[in-house]
Amino acid sequence: MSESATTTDIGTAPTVRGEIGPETVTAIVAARNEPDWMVARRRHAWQVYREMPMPTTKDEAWRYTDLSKIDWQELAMREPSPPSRVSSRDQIPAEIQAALHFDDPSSAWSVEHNSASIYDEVEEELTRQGVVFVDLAEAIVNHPELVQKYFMTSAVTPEFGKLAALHGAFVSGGRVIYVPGGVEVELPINTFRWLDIERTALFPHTLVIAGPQSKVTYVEECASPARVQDGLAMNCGVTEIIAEEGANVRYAIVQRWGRHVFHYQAVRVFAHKDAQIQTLLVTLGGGVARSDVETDLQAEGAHSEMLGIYLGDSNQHFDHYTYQLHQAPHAGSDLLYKGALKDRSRAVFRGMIRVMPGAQGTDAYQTNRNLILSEDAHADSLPNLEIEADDVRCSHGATIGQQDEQQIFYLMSRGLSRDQAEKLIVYGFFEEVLARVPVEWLHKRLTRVIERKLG
Amino acid sequence: MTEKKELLVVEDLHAAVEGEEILRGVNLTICESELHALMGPNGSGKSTLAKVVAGHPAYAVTQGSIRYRGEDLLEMEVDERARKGLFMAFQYPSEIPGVTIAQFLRHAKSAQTGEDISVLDFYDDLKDAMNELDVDEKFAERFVNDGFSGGEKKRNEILQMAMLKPDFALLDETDSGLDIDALKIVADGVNTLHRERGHFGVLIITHYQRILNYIQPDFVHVMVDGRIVRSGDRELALELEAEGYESTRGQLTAAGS
Ligand SMILES: Nc1ncnc2c1ncn2[C@@H]1O[C@H](COP(=O)(O)OP(=O)(O)O)[C@@H](O)[C@H]1O
Ligand SMILES: [Mg+2]
Repeated sequence: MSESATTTDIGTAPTVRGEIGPETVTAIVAARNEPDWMVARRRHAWQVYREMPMPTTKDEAWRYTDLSKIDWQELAMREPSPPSRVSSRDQIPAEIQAALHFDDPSSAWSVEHNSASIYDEVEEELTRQGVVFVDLAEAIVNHPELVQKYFMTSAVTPEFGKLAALHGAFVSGGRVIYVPGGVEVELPINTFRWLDIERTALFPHTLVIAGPQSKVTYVEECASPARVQDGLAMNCGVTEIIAEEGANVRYAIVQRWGRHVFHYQAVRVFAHKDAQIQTLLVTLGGGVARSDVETDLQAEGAHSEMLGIYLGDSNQHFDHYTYQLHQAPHAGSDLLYKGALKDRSRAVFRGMIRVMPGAQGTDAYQTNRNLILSEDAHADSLPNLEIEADDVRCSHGATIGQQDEQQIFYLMSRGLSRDQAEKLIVYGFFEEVLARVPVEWLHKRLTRVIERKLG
Repeated sequence: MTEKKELLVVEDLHAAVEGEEILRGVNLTICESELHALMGPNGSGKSTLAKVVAGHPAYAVTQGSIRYRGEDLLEMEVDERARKGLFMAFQYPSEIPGVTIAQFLRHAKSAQTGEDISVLDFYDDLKDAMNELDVDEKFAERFVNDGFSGGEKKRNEILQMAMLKPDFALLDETDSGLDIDALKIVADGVNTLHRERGHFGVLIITHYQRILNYIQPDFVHVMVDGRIVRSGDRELALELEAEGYESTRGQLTAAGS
């Protein structure tokens, strides 16, 4: 994080709050002291943002999520007073320390507080092997060749959508991971992202570049304190995963922000020949959460496993859009999103498998299952296929159902209370996805987080 | 005889499902440490009786009573019945995807004892029970009944019975579709509980007297059209096997006229 960015108080730069206008971009640019090429990127993204209409519920892709209800004027477009860096684990604010789990076997950690990178540590072995794990601001300075080549140029460009363009203009924080060809990082690399302010928008960027035949697992966790916050906050994040030939990348993002957060996340995988990618989206927090998750299979032999879990309660609103794009023959994608909805929560799943001409031998599957746990909860599921090649194996399916009274009776007949029985069934429902998570501690921790949310 | 305590007393029980009366006046008394067998043609209401005893919500009791160890069973929730030592091995147990047998049993065990049991003790018990039943240790890590064969489902029911050590068990056609080895294992499970827990009583619902070669019943009852029409000792089971239920039907009409 460039130091100059941290000093301008929001009170002395009123243009930063409120209207999203060219002055806002100028203020951000001025404060950040970035090289010209990066400034040009921001200005370009801003241009794209300006030219793109704000999606409305008349747009098919945003039919169920009304952006006009988000009061943008409430939001500061960057962190007003970024927290400062610390140099050891025990200097991390106690509240954050209590929320993260350094015990989980890992090879690197970074901690972000309201979009500012406050702490990181990387095992020496990784550095020795040439693995890069730095925050975006540092990458711009020390690894410009990586950022210039990959940052919003191939996986997610500003043209991806209105919010991706906004992200491109205001990007703040986030990480760049580069794993050189042939290097296998066995233990996960983790980022813990903490948001405890209101009326602010965060724009974290995740850029994972996995060289040929490399292997890496990256886990991002987004969290807020349990106390209630009234003012709106926004997370507008973009994740780009570039998997070179034969690379094996596993990525998980666990979103459990406070309820005051409007969460938008674009995740796009750009897969080269024989690359094996797994993404896992866990959506638990936020008031309104929208994710666009795409896999772009560029070459033969690539495979993308796309997993998702969501558990809504009170009046949470989750909207997942997924896209499996098959551009090359003999590639595979396999999607499984499962959600359970309590109280008045609601969920939308919209998935698309697109098989382009020439992508023969494609294997593409898409399954979305919803479990409705209360009368007032609601789910919509819209799976879709567009196939323009021969000799493909594709399937899609969606279910929306209530809990099975026979199952509940069976469990109760062994002494479990109705409440325990219902919880165990929901837990089992998610296990189909969790069992495919290769990191044992993540599996366990997600189980605990889900159990806690089930109450 | 008189000092024997009553476990389950069913009196003039009438029960309906979807408005249709299935049980039409069942009377049955089972005392501690007694082994009873219930036979009868398909559709006569045997499973319905079992489910009413277990508390299945689809069945409405319209008349009569069931007392379990002196308490009004019909007043108890399904889980409460289980915690009071009543166990039912279902004819068609549910599948619970994503929940392992071990997990399920740990929940059941701690619900029963009211406290978290130690993981080590639990797995020791589970291993022992699985050995007795001749099931592979990996069995406990499989999801409850998910993709199980008929025989595996039955073994799973008996494994649960062995772990939960009930005071009274109802086995609904647990012997159907089992080969002779599996049948012996089921019988062993019942006999072991009977030996270890002196007061343990059981009601075995079955079509075949085959299992009664391994579990010696004190009483055999025949249900026809929602009523117990005959009761007797083990000889009755042999007779029924030889002659079928037609003779009992005749008796029913005779008795009913
Ligand atoms: N849940 C149910 N819904 C509708 N009919 C049922 C249900 N359960 C049982 N019955 C009916 O009740 C009768 C007795 O069934 P059951 O108790 O299963 O008999 P058995 O176990 O002796 O073969 C049958 O006619 C059956 O169709
Ligand atoms: Mg039956």
